[in-house]
Amino acid sequence: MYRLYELLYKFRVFIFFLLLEVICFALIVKHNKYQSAAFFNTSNAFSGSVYSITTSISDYFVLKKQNNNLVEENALLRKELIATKEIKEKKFLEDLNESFLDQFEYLPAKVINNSITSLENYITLNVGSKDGVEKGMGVLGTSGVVGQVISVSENYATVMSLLHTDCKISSQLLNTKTLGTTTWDGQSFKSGHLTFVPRHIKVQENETVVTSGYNAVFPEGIKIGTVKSITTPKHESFHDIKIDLSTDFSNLYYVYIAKGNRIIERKKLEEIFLNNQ
Amino acid sequence: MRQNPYISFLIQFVFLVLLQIIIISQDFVIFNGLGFCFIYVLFLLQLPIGLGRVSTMSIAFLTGSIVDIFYNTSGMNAAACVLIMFLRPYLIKALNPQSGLENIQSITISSVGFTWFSIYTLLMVFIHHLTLFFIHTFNTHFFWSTLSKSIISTLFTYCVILVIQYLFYTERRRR
Repeated sequence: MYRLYELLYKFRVFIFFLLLEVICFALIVKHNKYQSAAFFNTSNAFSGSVYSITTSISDYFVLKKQNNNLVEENALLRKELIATKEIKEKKFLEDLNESFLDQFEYLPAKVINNSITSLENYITLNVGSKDGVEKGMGVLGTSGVVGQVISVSENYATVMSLLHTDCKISSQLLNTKTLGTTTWDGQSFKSGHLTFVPRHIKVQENETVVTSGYNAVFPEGIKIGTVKSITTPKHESFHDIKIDLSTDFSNLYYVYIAKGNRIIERKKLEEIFLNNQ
Repeated sequence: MRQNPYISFLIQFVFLVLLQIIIISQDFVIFNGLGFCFIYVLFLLQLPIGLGRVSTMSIAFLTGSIVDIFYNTSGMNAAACVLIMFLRPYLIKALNPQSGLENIQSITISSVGFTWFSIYTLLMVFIHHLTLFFIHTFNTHFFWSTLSKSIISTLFTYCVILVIQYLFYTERRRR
């Protein structure tokens, strides 16, 4: 014990030096995380390339699962395609402006890093500014909403997952078209919360929650989840609705980035109105 | 002022850090943002040689942190400062001035000679700037641009240090 103490004493200067440097680096990293998304760690080129190497290896182990997911999605899309064709044939869409339909384009992307354990979860994708990804675009999975792009480098993009305590998604209940906001409370990666639904609205269990399309990030009607339980606190004017998220974040391999073609135009128009007020 | 070395160092500290924060700030840049000046390093360079490393590193940490607060770069300047203060004794030992350093309170041009002072300052400032800029970019992608930025900034800072040395520290030589 005395020897150990002696050794520590001998290297006290070096240990003190290390201690100070560790404090400095902790400050630096913390600073970067909160203040500047530009320095964002996972989207910078180095860690991005490391992640893409590791996923290129680990991919082989989940090929079967991925295939199943894609097949399922294909089936779903086929079903929807038939449904749309039927509608078109019935000329329901005639009075709808054709251009309304191509408001969004979809860009496929591969998930190369994903976390679900922390309070602020981020996803790294293998597409970047080179592919036309921009900050603020919505990200969809095969079965629902995933998150929103928050920073982009040349080849990679970092996505703020729905599993992020700051993430707020404008959503609506499918049956009643009531608006609400989907948030995540940082607990289970399988469930989220739907807030700001007024208490006079009757909400049923297993009702579907979809995106509202009011924020121009996500197309309207993308599934977020289903209502699991409803509690109404006595003195609150809103329900507290717990929802099962439809996206399985622990099992996320391919996603789509929704490129809104008219976001800029729409934002400009809305800004003009706000400024005039 | 000269009677008590601590007060003199305190005055130097306040003067140099204020100079850094208020006058130099982020606007004092040459060659389209290639050369930056970190004059507050001069204070660390002139700390008494007799002072232990634990105290010099603590002082460096404090000084760096203060500059960091104003530059909005939490931790970066502090990390670079602590590093140069850790390396300083080795550097002084390696350079080993012929005149000997036993009876020197602080390292100035007049006390150690122009050549020795220049080598010491250039090396220390270069290590500081290199560390700082590499922490800034945080990757090796911009290696050459960071290196050239450090070299130009080192020369820039060195020139400003020389100006300050001749402006304020020459009295001692006359004495």
